[in-house]
Amino acid sequence: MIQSLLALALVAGTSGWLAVRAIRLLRRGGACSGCSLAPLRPRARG
Amino acid sequence: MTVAAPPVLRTVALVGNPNTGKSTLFNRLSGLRQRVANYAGVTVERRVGRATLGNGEEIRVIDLPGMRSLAPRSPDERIAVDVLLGRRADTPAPDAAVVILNALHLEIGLYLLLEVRELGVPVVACLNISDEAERAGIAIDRGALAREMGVPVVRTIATRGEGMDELKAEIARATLLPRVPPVPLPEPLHGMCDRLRGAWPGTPGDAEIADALIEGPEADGIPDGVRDALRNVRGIETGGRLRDLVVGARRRRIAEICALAVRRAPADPRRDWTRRLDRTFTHPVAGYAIFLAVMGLVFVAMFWLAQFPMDWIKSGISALQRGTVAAFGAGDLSSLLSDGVLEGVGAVVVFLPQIALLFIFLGILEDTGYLSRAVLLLDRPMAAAGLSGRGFVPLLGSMACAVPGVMGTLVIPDVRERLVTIFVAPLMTCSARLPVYSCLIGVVILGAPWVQGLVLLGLYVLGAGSAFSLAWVLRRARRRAARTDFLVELPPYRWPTWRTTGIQLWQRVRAFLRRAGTVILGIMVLLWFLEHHPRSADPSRQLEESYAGRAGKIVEPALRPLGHNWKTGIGILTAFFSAREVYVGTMGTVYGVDGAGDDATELKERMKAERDPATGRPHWTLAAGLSLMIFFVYAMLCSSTVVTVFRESGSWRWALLQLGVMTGLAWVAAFAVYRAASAAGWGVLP
Repeated sequence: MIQSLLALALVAGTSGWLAVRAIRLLRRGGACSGCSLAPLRPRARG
Repeated sequence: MTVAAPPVLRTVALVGNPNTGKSTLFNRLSGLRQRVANYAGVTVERRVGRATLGNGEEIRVIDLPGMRSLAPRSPDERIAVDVLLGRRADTPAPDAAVVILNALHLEIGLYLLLEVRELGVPVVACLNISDEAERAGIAIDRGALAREMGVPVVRTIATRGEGMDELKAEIARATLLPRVPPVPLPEPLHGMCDRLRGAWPGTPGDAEIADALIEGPEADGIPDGVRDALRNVRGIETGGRLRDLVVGARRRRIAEICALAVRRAPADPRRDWTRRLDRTFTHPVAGYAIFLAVMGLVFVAMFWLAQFPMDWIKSGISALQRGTVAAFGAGDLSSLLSDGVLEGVGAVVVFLPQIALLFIFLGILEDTGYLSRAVLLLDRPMAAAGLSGRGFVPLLGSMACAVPGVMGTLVIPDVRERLVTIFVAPLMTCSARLPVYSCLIGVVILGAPWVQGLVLLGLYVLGAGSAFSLAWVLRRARRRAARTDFLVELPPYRWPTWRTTGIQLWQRVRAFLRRAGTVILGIMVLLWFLEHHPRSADPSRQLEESYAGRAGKIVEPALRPLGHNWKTGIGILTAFFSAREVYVGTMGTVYGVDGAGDDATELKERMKAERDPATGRPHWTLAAGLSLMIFFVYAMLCSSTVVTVFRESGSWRWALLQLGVMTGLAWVAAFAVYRAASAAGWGVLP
């Protein structure tokens, strides 16, 4: 019983966090695993 | 009581061609005291820092985007020019400019230096990468250069911090100098500039107006009100004559200065060695063969060497799962941690050694100078596809991740060409596809590591080939624009520095692990819930009757013709809503819940053990595996990229069109491959 409640709490918390991330993604644009993985980064900068 | 006003913070702009070590110099000057944001309304990085000069004075330093001349051809160059002329509300006008010159290619940098000096802003010239120039036998007489250009010239090696004190002293002197009147242009142009000045907002410099005259009214970045005036003025003079008047005059001046200030020693043996190697590595036929052989070796070595650490990681994860079950006993929390989190995240993390090895090899290739030759080689097929050389770096960046790749297309001045590059960038094989390919190759390609490596190489080539082909089709369908210039610097070959490769590798490994520990972990927790609810009366049908199973069943009809069932459907759905590598994590949990091949501990073995309930034959045949790999080559299974394309292209229409085209292409190609492979008899046994 306690395990089930803890598991559900964890799922609920994670869902909320993922939802916040998704909204942030839509607002500010994407950031993906590769941003710091690029072997040669695009030079839209200095 | 009076309060002293805060001292006015003087501002210095760092200006230079791309690849002059400008950002390294900026980091040297400002250390950790820097802020990175975007210029208002565009995704061009605005890097501003603080530096303390030798006299204790604090100054503001702006690192401007790299540019070749003051004639802006792309949005980031436009911003650099605007900042330099003090026309941006979000950035203060600079009191002085430091023009960074690559001592190896002085002639290219001097053009920009001449232009900046003509603006009238106090200038300090910074002769960077001096050590490499000296090793290459290039001796630059700084005194002569300073005399001819009329600006102080400082010798620096930004990577080692040499010459920084002298540079700071010259900056301190320059920021106190007043702006001088801009240098007048040749007489015929002078009159035309005066006529245009009235139509121009703000206070343009002669050099800027002259560049606009040469580039013509259709060029990017010219204020709209100026275009008409420009058309009229251009009616008087032709572009060619103007080009000769201004560009030709500057080039002749640069040639005179270089004749006085630059001495080239006879080529040293190392340079000669580089030239000899280049003749082979950039050969129109042998060059491509060597490139394919090098990349093939990289992939084969990756598969072969990664086996051992992958086994260790698998054992570690299994031990953690056993420990979790032992500690918590049977129950939901134990199941969530063991079957959801550890199984799903573990299925992705197990590919860390392969990703690390790939980046070690790419890092070594970049460090030795070979990757620059590969860039030069690939410019030819890109030119054939109608893509500009400037699109190369964004496309190459997309081989790590399409998100920075798409953002990097900002350097492409032609709007249509930029859209085409954005459209095809996600077809380049990103690092998120690597775990998926590796997993599927492990399941259906049963040959030696070299066979598996070659299949992986084939998938990379297919991705790049498809991107170029699609670009060719799109460019033919649209107006053809002139190809923009593209300069690639070929550094001398050198031994890789292990420190640089090590730091880059650590950054990439950390990014991969961070992602596995955040987004992928979160999705696995959610997926565990969707796979275990609602509870089924029959445990063997739990997955099928769960929310995840039902969602998979909805997309199953579309996947059946490709040789796949609802389980792959769940993986594709989760990948679509997050990112591609999540497919592997999802398969980990799906096969964990379903219990197919229960005796096996490895995902690969569990997948191999799956049988088609209707026929009783193995599900993961070569045909099924190939069709799914092809599906992943083309499908846009990445929500971050869709959002980024929307933001960069400015419309949902383009993002959704791309999503639709890529999904359609993926389905058709996977269907064709599945049918062809089945007809060849590869659809029976794995």
